[in-house]
Amino acid sequence: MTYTLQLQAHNAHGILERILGVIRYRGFEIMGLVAHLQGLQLAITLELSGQNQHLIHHLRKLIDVQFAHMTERVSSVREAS
Amino acid sequence: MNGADAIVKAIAQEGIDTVFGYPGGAIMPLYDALLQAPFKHILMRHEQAAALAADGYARVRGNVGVCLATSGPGATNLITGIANAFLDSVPMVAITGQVATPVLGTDAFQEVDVFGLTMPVVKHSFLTKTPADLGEALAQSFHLARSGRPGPVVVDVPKDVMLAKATSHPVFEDTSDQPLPDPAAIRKANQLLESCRRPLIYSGGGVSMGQALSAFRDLVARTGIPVVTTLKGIGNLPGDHPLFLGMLGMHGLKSANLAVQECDLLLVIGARFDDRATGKLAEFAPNAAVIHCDVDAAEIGKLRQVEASLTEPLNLTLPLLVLDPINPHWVNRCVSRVHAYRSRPQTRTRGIYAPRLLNNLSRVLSPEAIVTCDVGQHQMWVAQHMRFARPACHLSSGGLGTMGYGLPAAIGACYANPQAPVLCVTGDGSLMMNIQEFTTIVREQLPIKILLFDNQSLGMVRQWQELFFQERFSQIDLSDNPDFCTVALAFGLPAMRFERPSQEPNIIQAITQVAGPLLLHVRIDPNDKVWPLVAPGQPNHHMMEGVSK
Ligand SMILES: Cc1ncc(C[n+]2csc(CCOP(=O)(O)OP(=O)(O)O)c2C)c(N)n1
Repeated sequence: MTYTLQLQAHNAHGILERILGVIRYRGFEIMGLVAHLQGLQLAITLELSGQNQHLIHHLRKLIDVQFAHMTERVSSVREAS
Repeated sequence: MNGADAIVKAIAQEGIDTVFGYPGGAIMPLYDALLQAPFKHILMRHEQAAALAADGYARVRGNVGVCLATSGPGATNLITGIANAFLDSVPMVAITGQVATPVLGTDAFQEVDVFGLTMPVVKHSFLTKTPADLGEALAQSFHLARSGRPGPVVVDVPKDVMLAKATSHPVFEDTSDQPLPDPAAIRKANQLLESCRRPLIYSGGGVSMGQALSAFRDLVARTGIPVVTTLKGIGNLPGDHPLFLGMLGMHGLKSANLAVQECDLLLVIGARFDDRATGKLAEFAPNAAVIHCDVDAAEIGKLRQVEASLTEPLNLTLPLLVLDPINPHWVNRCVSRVHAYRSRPQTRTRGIYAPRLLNNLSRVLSPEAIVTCDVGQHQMWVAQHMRFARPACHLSSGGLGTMGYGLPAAIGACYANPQAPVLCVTGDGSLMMNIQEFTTIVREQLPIKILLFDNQSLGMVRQWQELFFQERFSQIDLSDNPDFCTVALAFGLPAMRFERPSQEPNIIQAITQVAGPLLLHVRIDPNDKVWPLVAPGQPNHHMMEGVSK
């Protein structure tokens, strides 16, 4: 199944690398990525089978991540509100 | 005040009285500022040992441990210690010097990407490119290391930022309200407790790292639920507590493993279903509903689906759990097995028998004594055969399993609690990983007793090769070890040698009565093994038991 991971984070030093590092270490392959680097917003497409909630929890542990959400349907980056 | 002074001030403000480190070019401004510091700096002889000493200090003091290193090789040497703190959730701040900002990213002398290298093993990290960045990092890093699930924070500070005028930054104060336990989750947990017949507590390092030891003990006293612990949870209940069924897992006590397999409710407190604890996960606690209490929401459901979870601090959730009354037949069944299975020392060994020695030693050691271990058979013998009053009395590298941990951790422990007797139990393989710290012990005259079990081999690896690789022994022979007593004496460290079982009382006497530092070199039989044992891939109730050849 294809999922979209929506993330919002402080644009702190190295944040993008940190997020990508967690996704890689936890064993997920990135299929697509849309990034708005101001007030960092990301939409990352992942191929997943079964359980996926962990990744969200691991990403939320990153100090600079403000918002992380996973949806089953591919969508684009949310507009900053 | 420059950046280096600001670092000193921040450490002092945290009430930290000892830091561990090693100087070099990029961190020279900080070492200059240390001359005026109100806290001690201990010069270790390897940066890895500095990080591991800071880890030992943190575990014993219940405060953040601080280590310092220069850029490049200094920082890379720290990494094992940082990873050790990461996997065992130990609060640590590692401050590294970095090359000056104008040459960052140019492969300057002793430049490596410390921020990048440490990223997967830190809770958080900072590369402070400006004085403002440094101010912010100092304001936050100690709080981050300590709060929630504790862990290491790296602050990488370019040399010019240490020399530049500091910008003042208020120390971060956590004014946010503590998260309140979710009433629905508490209700669910209490329903599960009420309807179960065979409840069991499986507790880990999170109890002490979460400063929740009294809430934990109070829960056990109120409910009467029997307890098993992980390696890091040893001491959550005093070793002789009637409800303590022992350590679970690969080298656990059979009474603990059987209780887990039979229980119908597993109350998991500050533990994370590590594979060394669970054995074959699919058959772990097969009949149990699970209530998982852990401040790290990412641990919930990571390896085992749960029926209820509580992710607020243990101090808030544990007092709300109730069970009344406990099923006495179940408790009796669990408790009666403890005595039967307490791994009895086996007497068929030829020489000094480490399990028996540790057992007897434990009976006479002060309950305040701190025992640090290295990694291998001796580490498991300590866990199995010694009793501990509190988790902070037993320092063992659990998650990373770092050979070389014991000696530096003992040094850190000495500064964290100068009153407590400190014993380091080590093996002939592990000791060599940080043996240079004999110098630090002698220089500081730390009254550490180093109990070296010398089996002239990498014993734990040898045991596995014997049992699971058809005795194809590969690269485990250490029979060409140096004469450890001569080595110790060369460092100025007094040493004694023991090889006969009749000397076991003399070993115990020396440990408890000699005043200063001492190496006790104890020759043991390489055939002695750690029993019982759950073979890899097996469920925990299939325990191999044996006697030494
Ligand atoms: C740094 C490091 N390298 C390798 C290992 C793998 N390892 C685990 S136990 C062990 C043998 C330890 O030998 P020793 O310290 O003599 O203790 P013993 O098992 O003989 O008691 C080894 C090599 C490790 N845990 N840590």
